[in-house]
Amino acid sequence: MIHEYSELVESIPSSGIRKFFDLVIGSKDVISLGVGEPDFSTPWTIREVGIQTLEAGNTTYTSNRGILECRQAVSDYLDKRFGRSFCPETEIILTAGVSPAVDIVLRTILNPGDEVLLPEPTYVCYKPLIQLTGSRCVAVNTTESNFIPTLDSVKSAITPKTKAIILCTPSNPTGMSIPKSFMEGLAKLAKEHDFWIISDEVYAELSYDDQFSSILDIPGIEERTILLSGFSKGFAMTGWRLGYVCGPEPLISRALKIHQYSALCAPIFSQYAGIEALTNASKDVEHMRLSFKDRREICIRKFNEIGLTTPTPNGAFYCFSSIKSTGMNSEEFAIELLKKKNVAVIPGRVFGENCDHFIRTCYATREDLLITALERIGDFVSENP
Amino acid sequence: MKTVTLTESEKTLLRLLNENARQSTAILATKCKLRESEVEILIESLQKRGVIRQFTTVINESIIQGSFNKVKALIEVRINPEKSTGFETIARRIYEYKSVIDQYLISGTYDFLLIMEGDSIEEIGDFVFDKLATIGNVTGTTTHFILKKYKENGVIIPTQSEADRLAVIP
Repeated sequence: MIHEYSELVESIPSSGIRKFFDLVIGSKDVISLGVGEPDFSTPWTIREVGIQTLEAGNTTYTSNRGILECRQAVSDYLDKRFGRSFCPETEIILTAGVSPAVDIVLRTILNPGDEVLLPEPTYVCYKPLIQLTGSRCVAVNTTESNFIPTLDSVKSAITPKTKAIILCTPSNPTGMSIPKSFMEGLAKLAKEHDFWIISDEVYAELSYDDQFSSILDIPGIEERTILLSGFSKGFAMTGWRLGYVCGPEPLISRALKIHQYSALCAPIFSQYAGIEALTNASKDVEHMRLSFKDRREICIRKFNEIGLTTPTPNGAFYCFSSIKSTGMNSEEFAIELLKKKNVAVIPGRVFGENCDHFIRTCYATREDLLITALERIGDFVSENP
Repeated sequence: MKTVTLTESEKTLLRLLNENARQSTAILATKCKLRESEVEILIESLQKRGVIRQFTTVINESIIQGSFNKVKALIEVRINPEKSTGFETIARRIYEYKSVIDQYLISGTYDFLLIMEGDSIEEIGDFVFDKLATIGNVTGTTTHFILKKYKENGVIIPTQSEADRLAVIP
């Protein structure tokens, strides 16, 4: 009996990145463009508050929703920065990062047999977490439309079982932001077919060209929108594990039941540090944003020069480049590049079935290493015409 | 002194050069979305107009063996300004010395703050006694020798190795 594991768990494959991770670990002197995290340490002002919290002996559980002061800071920040309105007492839960927030939200809204629309390429955690609820993912391919979903493709994927769509904007893995024109149409579809819009906005702070836009900019959509965000990317706090979910009270009160039994609360020192991040770190965030933007320009120019077509990502810190011209599939490309040039990139295949002629690179890497890695990728491409 | 107005491109270029003055013109051009020739013209113009005075380096002296290291000191100087010319004439009598690296007019108990460099403590001491204190308007000095450098020009001088990141996030 003990060798019979959960059928749902057995049904989901291990992370495609994980397999690649083991390969990279075995190689020496690799320049990795595979890391999806800022190459900055957390700004000092935030770290210091974390330290002070520990020094003061604040090492306890907090309320399940998170300390009110931090929820208030999230509410104020979302209001000032993006014009959102969420009640800190009833509409916000602090979680240990965004991934657990995705998990509790999906478990709150899905029943076995439900369907969730997933624009592909997609961030790697959504699909397995959907499958673990016994629901089904319906991919919406965006590789033919510059990684922006079209309303027609969404429309044709909708069925009576459609319960939600997940948007990640700016996107991991493409860095593309979804424009307001799409949001307006999507809002209408969501109302017409009565489904949720889950908006993962963890990269919102890292927007480069246009002002960040969200489904929540559309009036009247709040009642069916769930906002997920966190501190990992914009504030360089990946290891602190702090995120949040905001949404209508009936949803939040139900999600809280899962959160309180499975996670209890987000780490207390991270919550206090989070207050500092939201109130006193805007200069640090801007410094990091500009630094990523500089490196984005280097990547875009180089990739397009060497024939790996890459649309300009207007957010996050990823490039999603076409390797069609090389004739290789993404895993072959990534493995050969690693073996021959000691550069790690992530094969597009892990982000969706239609993504096997793309690679993801993360440009949150020290600039001199980034330039060397790009030179090596250029050499690799020209040696494999 | 004549002031200059900078364009947005010039401001971006200054920010980038301030972070790393050694980056290539090609990289600077890419980041600024300009042509290389335009970047070269802008840099030359900034130099000509006196906005860029010098390209310099931040050196981690603590890891260099031998006598490369200079002795550095912060010197507070109190003066009695001259009626006709104020601080400027006296300031010049100090900053013209090569060993004075930086000089600021400051508010508070003292008037000038100098950053000095020399081959030895004695050399700096001699300068303070023989040159600085003998200027007629100088009424007092306090010398602080620098023992250890933690941060310079916004760059932290590392005292411990940085934390490693995972090569790929699983």
